[in-house]
Amino acid sequence: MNEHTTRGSTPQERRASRRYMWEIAAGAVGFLVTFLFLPELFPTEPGSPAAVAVALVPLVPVVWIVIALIRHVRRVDELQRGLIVLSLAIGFGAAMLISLAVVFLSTAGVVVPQPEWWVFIGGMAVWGVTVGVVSFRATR
Amino acid sequence: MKNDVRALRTERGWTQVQFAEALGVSRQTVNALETGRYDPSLPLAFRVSALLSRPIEEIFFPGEHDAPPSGGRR
Repeated sequence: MNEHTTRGSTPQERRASRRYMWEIAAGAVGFLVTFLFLPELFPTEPGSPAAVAVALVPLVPVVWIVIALIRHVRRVDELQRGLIVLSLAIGFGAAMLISLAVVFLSTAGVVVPQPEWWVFIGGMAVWGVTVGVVSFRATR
Repeated sequence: MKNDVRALRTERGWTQVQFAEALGVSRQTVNALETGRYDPSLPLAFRVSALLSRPIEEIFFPGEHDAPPSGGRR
């Protein structure tokens, strides 16, 4: 079997990947800019409506990232869609587990600093690792 | 489920990429099909059948672990 039978990707795949990367990158840049620089550019009174608005603006690019993910899931084929959905389910499960662990720890008197970030980072990390693992297992 | 996709594809001189493009799926999916790691949906099986000009039952057939018509009771 020559190399071309087992390697490479179709033009549709490359287009879908490029579009996904661009859409995610745009969202990530938008998030970083609004999250890191907006409070510096628009200093506000803590607790004021303006402060709430500035604090919530970074959610806009995050919503865009979610939309980009949904668009990607709709673009890919049936196997890839199944793998993405499976990894999302496992990532969601991990986030819920971490969330419950934080709650149980707090009832035991253990204070977890910034628990929301543990839930977010844990869920995202498990999702990211799972995507790689299930993709590898499907094609090894 | 077992299948003869790889043999039928290579018989025609198509690469996985060419075959995937014609089917409208990724090469990863063709590879998973050929190695028996993925059972296609019925619509995709029909597309494979049309592309290879063979009836579905000549391309895909049950493996020893697939449930018999009894619903799994042996």
